[in-house]
Amino acid sequence: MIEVAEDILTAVGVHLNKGGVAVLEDVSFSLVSGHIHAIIGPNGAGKTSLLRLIGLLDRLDQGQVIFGGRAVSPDCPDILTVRRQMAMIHQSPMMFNSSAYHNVSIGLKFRRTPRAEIDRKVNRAFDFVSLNGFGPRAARSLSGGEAQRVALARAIAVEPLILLADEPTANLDPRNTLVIENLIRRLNRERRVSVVMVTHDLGQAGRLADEVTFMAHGRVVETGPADQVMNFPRHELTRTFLNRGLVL
Amino acid sequence: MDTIWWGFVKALDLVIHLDPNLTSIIWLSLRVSGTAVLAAALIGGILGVLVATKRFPWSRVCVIVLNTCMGFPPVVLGLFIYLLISRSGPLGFMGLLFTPMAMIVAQALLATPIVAALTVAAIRSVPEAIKDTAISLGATMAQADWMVVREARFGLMAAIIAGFGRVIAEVGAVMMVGGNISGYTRVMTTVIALDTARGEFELAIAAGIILVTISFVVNLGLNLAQGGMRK
Repeated sequence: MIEVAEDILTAVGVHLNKGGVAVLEDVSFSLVSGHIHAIIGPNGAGKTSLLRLIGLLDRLDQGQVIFGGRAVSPDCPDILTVRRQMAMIHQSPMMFNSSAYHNVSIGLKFRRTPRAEIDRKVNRAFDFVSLNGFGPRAARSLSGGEAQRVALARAIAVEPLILLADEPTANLDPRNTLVIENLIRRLNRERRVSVVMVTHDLGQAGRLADEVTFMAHGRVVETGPADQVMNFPRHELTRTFLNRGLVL
Repeated sequence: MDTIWWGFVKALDLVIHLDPNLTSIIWLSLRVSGTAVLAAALIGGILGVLVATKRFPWSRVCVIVLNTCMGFPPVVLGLFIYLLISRSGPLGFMGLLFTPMAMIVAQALLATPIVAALTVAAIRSVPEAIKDTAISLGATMAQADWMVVREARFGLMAAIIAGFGRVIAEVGAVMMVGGNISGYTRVMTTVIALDTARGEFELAIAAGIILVTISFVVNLGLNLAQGGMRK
């Protein structure tokens, strides 16, 4: 039987203005269920703005974000239910000023999960990121690599359908970058979590992604299977960026 | 020089032997200022949290008004309260003039804008990413706001301590609305003012020593609490 790939999340014709400046113009994007989709592009391309829109953190000016077959926005009545199926990690993991355990458990506490279940899920998340025993540590005393793993554990603990990752390895050394990449890959393969990842690291996009979207100047320039976009780009801007990391 | 020296010696004697007059003054000061700060923490804290976390028209004006009120002259406030609660005033029927309750009201009104303004500053200094992170982890808006307030907890404690520091050292308003009645509304600051004017320094110096010590202990406690919480 042939498995039909289904889009779990779609953005259609999205426009976003900030302070009178167009940040996103007619951007369309889709995430296939169970896939890793990398968004690449130069600084100011609108990658993070798109990630925040599809994470329903910001309101769009025009267009639609479709999740589970229907349009969703930060103003829809069941926004909480929709948001609770996603989790986000950032370039600089923002740790709450408390223990690592509290940080990892907080999403479950927001959901009023019973205590015993919280303990079980938090321990499982620590185990997944190989940070067993880190629970009592002060979250803000952790190294960059450890903090990003705790942030990943925090996202995993709530068992999301989609992980949104905004340059998750930008501040990490090569060893920790590989650790995070492996964790994201395992999360995707073992738990079937779909991932949208903004990255500057073209090698990382090639290593992890099933699909790649290249953005520049607030627009999608090219999107498609990772192999095609990374190795046989159709658009001149994509070629320039992939060869020199520049878009003029 | 002798006057100062003997003043200190006699003051220390009063402190060491827990002079009943001195202890009743200390107790009243702590009771009045403590109650006033509790009220200010509640009202000013809630006001500060609302102004800092909710978006509404005039929120900027609210912050400017709160900041302005932080420097409100105590004697002017004392005058307004006096006029309100004096026998011929609109609240004269409550019989509050020259009572500890009037002093509590005056001190609470002085401390509330301090607590509120410093609460706003503390909450606004929390990175916006804290709220975003909470929301992206599935928090409701109220839960996300609570996380922001929680992150600002050291600043909130400092706001309350600053409010306490302001009122425990305040003399003008409490003198006007409390009347500085011996054994009833006489507190440390008013006894310092009165006894200095009389040239009787020992009780004034003793109250001064206690006042400075209380301020030191409160700040030390805050510092230790913050250190403990950061571990």
